[in-house]
Amino acid sequence: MISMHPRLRPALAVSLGAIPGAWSRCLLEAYLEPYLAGNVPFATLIVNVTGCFLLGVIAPLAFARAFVLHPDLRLLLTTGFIGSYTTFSSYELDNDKLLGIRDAAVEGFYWLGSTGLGLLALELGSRLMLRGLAYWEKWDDLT
Amino acid sequence: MISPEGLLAIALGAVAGALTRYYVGLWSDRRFGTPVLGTLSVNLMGAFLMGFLSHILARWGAPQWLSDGITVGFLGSLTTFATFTFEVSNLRREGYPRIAWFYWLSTPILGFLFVEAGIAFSHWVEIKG
Repeated sequence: MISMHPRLRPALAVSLGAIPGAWSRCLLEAYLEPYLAGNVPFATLIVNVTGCFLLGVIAPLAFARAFVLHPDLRLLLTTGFIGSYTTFSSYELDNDKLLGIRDAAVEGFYWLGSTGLGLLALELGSRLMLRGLAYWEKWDDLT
Repeated sequence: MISPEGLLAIALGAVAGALTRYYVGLWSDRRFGTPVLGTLSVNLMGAFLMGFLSHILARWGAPQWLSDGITVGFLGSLTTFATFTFEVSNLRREGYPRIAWFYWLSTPILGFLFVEAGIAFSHWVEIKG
C-alpha cells in the first residue's frame, strides 16, 4: 500500500474521479450529437439526468448496514466522477441559446424539465438501491 | 471529433474544477454547517464564467483544445447538476421542504441570470478592449 499524507488522499480521490467523469460527459455528448436532431440540447439533458440517477444509486451505499463504502471511494465516485460528469454551466448556456429560437415550450421543457427529470431520476435510483439493500440485508440475516 | 490534446486539456481542467468545487464545499460546510451554499456559489460562478468565456474565447479565436479545456473541462467539472439535485432531495427528506423547493427553483433562475451577466460582461469587455 502506498502511504500518503492524509490531506492528499481526498484530493487524489476527487481528481481520479473527475478525469473519467469529464471524459465520459464530452465523449457521450460527441457520440450522441449526430443522433439527436432538433432544438432541445438532449445530450446535456441525458448526461445530467443519468448522473442524477447514478448518484441516487450510490448515495444509499454510503450508509448501508451490510457493508461500508470507503470514504475515499465514495468521494471518488460522488464528488469526483458524478460531480464532473454532470454540469450546470453548460445547462445554463444552453438555456441562453434556446432563448434565441423563441419557442417557449422548448425553452420551458429544457429549463424546468431538466431539474424535474433530474430529481425524479435521483429518487428512483435511490429507491431501487434501498429496496435492493433491504433484500440483501434480510437475506444476510437469514444465513 | 475530440483531439488527443483536447482530451488532455479537458482532464487537466476537470481536476482543477473538481478540486475547486470540493474545497469550496468543505469551506461552506465548516463556515455555515451546510455544503449547499458552496454548491450554489460554484454553480453560479461557473454559469457566469461560462457566459463570459464561451463568448470571449470564440471572439479571440482561441484554439479548440484550449476552449475545450476551459469550458468542457474546467467549468463543466466546477459546476454540478447531480449534487444540486441530491441536496434538494436531502433538504426535503431532512424536514426542510420549503428551503428545498426554494433552492430547487432559485438555482436555475439565478444560474440563468448569471449566464446572461457573463455574456453582457463579455460584450462590455469587447467594447472597452
